[in-house]
Amino acid sequence: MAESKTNTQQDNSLGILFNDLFRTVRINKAFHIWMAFLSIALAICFYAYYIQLRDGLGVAGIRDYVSWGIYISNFVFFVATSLVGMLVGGVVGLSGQKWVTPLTRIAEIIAVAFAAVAGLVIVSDMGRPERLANVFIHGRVQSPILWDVTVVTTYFLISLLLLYITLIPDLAYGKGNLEGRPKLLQRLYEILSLGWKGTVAEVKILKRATIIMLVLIIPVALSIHTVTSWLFAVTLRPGWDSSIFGPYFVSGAFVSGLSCLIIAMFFFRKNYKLEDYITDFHFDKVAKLLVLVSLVYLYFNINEFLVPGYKMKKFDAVHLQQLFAGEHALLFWGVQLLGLIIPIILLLIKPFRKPLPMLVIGIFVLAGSWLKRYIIVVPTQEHPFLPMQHVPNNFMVYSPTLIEILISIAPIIMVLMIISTLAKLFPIIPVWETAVHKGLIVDETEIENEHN
Amino acid sequence: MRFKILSTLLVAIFASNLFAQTATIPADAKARTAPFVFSTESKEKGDKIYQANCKSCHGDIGKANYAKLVPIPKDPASPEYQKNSDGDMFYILSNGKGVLMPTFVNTLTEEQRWDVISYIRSFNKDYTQPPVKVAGEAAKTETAKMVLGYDLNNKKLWAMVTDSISGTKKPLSDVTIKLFVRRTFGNLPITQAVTSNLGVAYFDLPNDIPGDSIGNILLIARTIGSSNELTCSLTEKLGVVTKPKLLLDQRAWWSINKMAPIWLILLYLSGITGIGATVIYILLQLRKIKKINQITTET
Ligand code: HEC
Repeated sequence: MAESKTNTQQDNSLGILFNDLFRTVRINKAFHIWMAFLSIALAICFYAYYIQLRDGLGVAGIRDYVSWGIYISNFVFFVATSLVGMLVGGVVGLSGQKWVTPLTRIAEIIAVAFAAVAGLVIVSDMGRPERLANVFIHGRVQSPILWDVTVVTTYFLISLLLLYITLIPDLAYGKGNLEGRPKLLQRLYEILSLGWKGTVAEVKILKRATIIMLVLIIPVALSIHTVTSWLFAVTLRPGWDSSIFGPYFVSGAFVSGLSCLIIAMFFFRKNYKLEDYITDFHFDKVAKLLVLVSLVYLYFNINEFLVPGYKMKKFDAVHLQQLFAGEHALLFWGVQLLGLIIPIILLLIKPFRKPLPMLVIGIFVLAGSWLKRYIIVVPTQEHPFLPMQHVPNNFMVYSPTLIEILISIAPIIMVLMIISTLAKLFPIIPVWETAVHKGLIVDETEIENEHN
Repeated sequence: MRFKILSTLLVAIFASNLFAQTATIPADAKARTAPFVFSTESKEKGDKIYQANCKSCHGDIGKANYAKLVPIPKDPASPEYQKNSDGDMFYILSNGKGVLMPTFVNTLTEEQRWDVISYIRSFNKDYTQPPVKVAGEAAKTETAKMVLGYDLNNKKLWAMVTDSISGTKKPLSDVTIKLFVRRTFGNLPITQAVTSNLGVAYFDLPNDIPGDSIGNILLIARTIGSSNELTCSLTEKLGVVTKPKLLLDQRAWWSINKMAPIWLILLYLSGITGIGATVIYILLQLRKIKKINQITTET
């Protein structure tokens, strides 16, 4: 283990740090109750899915024209939210922002959970899920669908690996700090820690591996959401036929990911009593980051709607009319105002950059992000180029059924389960890095660097 | 005001014109009857033709499942449809009706058109076929024959019409013959010619008709105007050799996986191997960490 400073006060504070951060690693009654609740909810959703498997996709509201409903909106939302791992660890972390350290693990756990479930969400939109393998057997390398499957899987694996790498030192510290926890958990820590001792050679290797992963995750994360946007943008349909869909989606992903991070920060801080580690300062920083990405997203929104709105090409006009003043106007303006513009304005005011107001704002932004995906996915399909003729009314206007809604809630429950479990098994704040930043553990590689 | 009167007038003229177009079937066409007695055989031939050419719009006869077009195509078993005379049907079938009912004059021979009518009539119990005219002209043409041939020396396509009414073959002059080339979706009219005193007609063929892979085209000659239509066909190497170029033979975005653009395959594979190699490198680094620690614990 790297030498900690010898004086007793330092040792003491290191002890407090270990105690604070490993305290949350325990499977308690509350956790059992919470998981039982989630399991029951999930079982209900699975029953809905069973009905869909038995009777076919017809039990959902999707039909020939609107064949991508809330399942696909959900998918886009999940892929989007998972991008926060790359934003926090990759972009902010690599740029040397030390304040972000306590948030990286939360962000990575969110990324892993959302990316893992995103693939399942797609399956919910398949009438014959047992044919999933055909995507790989008969997939065409020309199809964005194949690229999407490839990059989403890759991103999940990389995120998982990154989460693991940054955990290794913490797992080693867990050895002395997990008395009274299940034997199995302690054994798991031992195996996964690879016998970490914190020697200079090890730290060097680990640091390099982390940096490589953080660099790698940036293009992969960019591509997962860019490719997801191409699933729409490579078609000719009004509302999708756009050349800025890639950056538009990516900036939107940062918005939804950060709002999810804010909500998670709030709950972990409160439930795990981490007020000393996730402080108002962190909320303030994240709020400013959210303002930044929201402004970028707003900028893309203006481009995405103002430019076609100025031209009002024949088919675009029908679509835009529906969004601006028609059937979807309430949703459209609600999302733009409550989920984007008002949050930006509020977060520019200092008192709103405190945990509780930010929780509320975060919830609005996250809900807005979900509904925005709905607005991107559904209305376009309600206006095909050829007239809809001789079909029942429920083919023309899409409305999700109860079964469909339940099936769409299932992935959200799964994400909560994955996040809750990971947050119970491992310290939610990187122990080693925090100790180094606080000067409680000396990182000898840093000293070496300074001498060179 | 003036404009209003003018436009009303225009509409009136236009509308009457429309009505005139759909309503007039010449009297002699109306009265026309089939040149043969409808039989099980003709009905069966008609069935096949109906399934291939009419069903897509008119549906299964008697089931009223015709295509939802405006105006509706009607179920051929319906009374409104059956109230047409045989001549009406033959006329509509030959010349089309309105905008949607296509003309079949070039795709179906007269005999085939009568076969379909025979089939359609079999769904009407009240129908009795009007007597087939066996007098004069019709009887005469029963014995008429047409042959189609290609004169290699003069490079000319010819047709000859003869009649062997009283045992001896006699050339028929002044018969108009229409020439078609068989294409995928029907017969393409090419030209027409009239028989000379010798009963022979020559056709000028354009020399750029696409043929099959060895240049063959199927030529169809058909007499028009006479009360009994004669047809005959001939396959001859008179077309341009056409090697059909399959769209799937080129590498393209829209092609099958095997025919994807090379650069795309390379890009995709290099992306995957790049990421895969990095991940493997990271895993090797982790193994290194483990090794370092094994050594330190041993010593
Ligand atoms: C492209 C669709 C289409 C196809 C193919 C088609 N029809 Fe029609 N047919 C129509 C329509 C539409 C009408 C009604 C036209 C109108 O009233 O202006 C019609 C009308 C008719 C009528 C007149 C009925 C009446 O009283 O109005 C006859 C007879 C007829 N079709 C026979 C046939 C036969 C026989 C075939 C096959 C050889 C055929 N059609 C193929 C669309 C079609």
